[in-house]
Amino acid sequence: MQSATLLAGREDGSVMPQADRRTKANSVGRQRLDAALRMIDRLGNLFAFGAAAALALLALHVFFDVLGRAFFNRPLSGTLEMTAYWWMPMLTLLAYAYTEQKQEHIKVTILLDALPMRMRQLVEGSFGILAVALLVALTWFTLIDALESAEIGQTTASSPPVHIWPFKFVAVAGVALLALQVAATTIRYFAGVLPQRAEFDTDADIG
Amino acid sequence: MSAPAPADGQKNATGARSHRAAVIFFAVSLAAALGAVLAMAFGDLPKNAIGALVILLSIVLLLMGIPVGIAMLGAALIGLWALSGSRVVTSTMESIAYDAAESWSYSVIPMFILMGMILWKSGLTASAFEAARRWLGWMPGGLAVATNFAGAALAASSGSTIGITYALGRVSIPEMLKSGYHPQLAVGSVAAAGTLGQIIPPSLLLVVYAGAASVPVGHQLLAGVVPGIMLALAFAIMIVCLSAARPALAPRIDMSEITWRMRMRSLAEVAPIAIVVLIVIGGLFAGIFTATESGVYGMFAALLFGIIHQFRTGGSWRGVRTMVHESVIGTLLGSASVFLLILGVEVLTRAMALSQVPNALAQTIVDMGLDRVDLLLILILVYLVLGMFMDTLAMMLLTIPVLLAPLKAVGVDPLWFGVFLVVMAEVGLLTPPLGILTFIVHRIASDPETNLGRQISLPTVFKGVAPFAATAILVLLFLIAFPGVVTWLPTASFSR
Repeated sequence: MQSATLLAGREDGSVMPQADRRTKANSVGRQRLDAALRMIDRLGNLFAFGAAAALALLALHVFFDVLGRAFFNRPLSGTLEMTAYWWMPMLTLLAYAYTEQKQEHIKVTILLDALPMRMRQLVEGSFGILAVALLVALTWFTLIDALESAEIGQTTASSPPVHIWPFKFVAVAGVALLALQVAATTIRYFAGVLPQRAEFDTDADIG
Repeated sequence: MSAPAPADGQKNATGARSHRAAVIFFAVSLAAALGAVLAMAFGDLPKNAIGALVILLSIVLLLMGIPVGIAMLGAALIGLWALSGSRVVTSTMESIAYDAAESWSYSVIPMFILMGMILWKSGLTASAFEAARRWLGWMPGGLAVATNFAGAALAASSGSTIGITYALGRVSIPEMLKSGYHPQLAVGSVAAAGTLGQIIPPSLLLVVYAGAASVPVGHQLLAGVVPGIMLALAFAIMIVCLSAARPALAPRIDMSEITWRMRMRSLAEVAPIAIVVLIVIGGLFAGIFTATESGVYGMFAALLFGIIHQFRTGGSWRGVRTMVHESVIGTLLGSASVFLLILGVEVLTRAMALSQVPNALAQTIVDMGLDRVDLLLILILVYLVLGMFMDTLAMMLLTIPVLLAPLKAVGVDPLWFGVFLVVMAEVGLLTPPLGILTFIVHRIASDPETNLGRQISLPTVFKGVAPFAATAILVLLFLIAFPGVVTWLPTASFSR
């Protein structure tokens, strides 16, 4: 589902009658907004690609570690550390934004479903702003930690030590893009485009 | 995950009245949230009260449609600030994004999801029902029994309830309706088969529980095996009894054209699933693999069989690519949604620990003279109610930090409680109004190809799952009476 085009598709005014009254200047702004939203979605896809790479690396790493242990009596050193400190953060944090884009983050909509449409937009939009504010703060503090970590060249306490600090910047990027993506969702709420969940077919459920 | 909206027809019928109720409820909860925040900020409250307000605030926030993990994070941060000042808040914010994802024991989560996705997308799971039908079709309610055991077999190779439900529902519902089964039994047995997915390992809920309750993942997974098999048997017995008592529910089917040769051949078809099960559960039990390693090897086995299956059924590398692509995407979405929740829960757990709410609750329960059985019976009721309104994982993770201390105080084994909680969570997937699994089965059964042109309404599905939910609770009562059933397998294993 390309949500950016969905937003543009709302020009027919079926959901938002006031869209008809928009001035020309507004529609230029609208185009820019559309472009920005599309850019965020693209970045989300790009990051998801990184997450997929981490998924493959994790699987291969553990696979060869066990092979080495079983047949050559030589496990790969640092498998446990690299899995925990490299591949896992990369795999999950880089997929956050993409998951928000596909509306697959775990949400409870039972109350929202019962609200009148207009009010639902308002509620989701206002709380979306709160969520964005929280995520921006989280990005900021994660960045502070990453910078400190880079300064001391943070590693694990294991031997041989494994560098941690570069992956703290991966965390910063992941949370930052999630903040942007939630902001995009919020704008879409206010524009009257309720993002739909992806079909269950693509849904790896956990419950 | 969000619940699908109710059907449009229902919505219009109840119309303005339900809207007004919702608006009032919304205003009240918003006022409560605001009150909670102000009280925490300016009131000089005891720690326990702050802890209670944090829980209240996270519930209100998650009802407002923001991701549950972020809702918990926000509420817990305010609580941390009220409990121990801004330094704790900033240090938490600095570390939590990375720390929540950085975990060896949770690395099994993406592997289990990927394994289940590949088995499902490759079409390997479709053969399970056919094999079970050939072997079990002769029994009273045979097709429903077959659905149930096919579900158990798939549960042992995949942790995805929805994956199993889809794979089974599309094949078995039309088969049952064609044979004259009552729609209630047809849809009920499919939903019940799906619930087995999270109890029989590999199960994501058990892994997440193990992390939150700090018990060994391997042991927790093995703890699910025996109760899962018991649950499958109990469902089967119930189907047979119901069908024997009311033959109109499930007319006997003609099995004369099924030969032993066909039965044997169907076994060969499900061999890949059996091998994946053996790798994962056997590897764990024998202590050959850690949980993550079993997931990785199970996943590669599934991939290998999936590729072979693709080519045997006339597929090409393009088909393989689609299969892998869809599986990876599904895995990323599933993993990210779980880990954002874990992020919120870790902060919430810190706030709970500082607020001393769990200890106070434990003390209260001990003072009230409640013993293990009393407490667990109360918890069945609590989870039944919570399960009606809350997401499975959110419900589990919101209550674990609060309940572990009281449970330990009355002598409940954390491994045992993990199984109890997951069974209750699965029951919550079935009960109205927010029974996600029931909605999904309804959706599968709304497809004219599946329902053979017979309309199956949502209430029919809810009625159909009711006896299964009741059976699951009976099994839980049995486990409360004989807790050793859960814990002996992990104790007997060589799992590390």
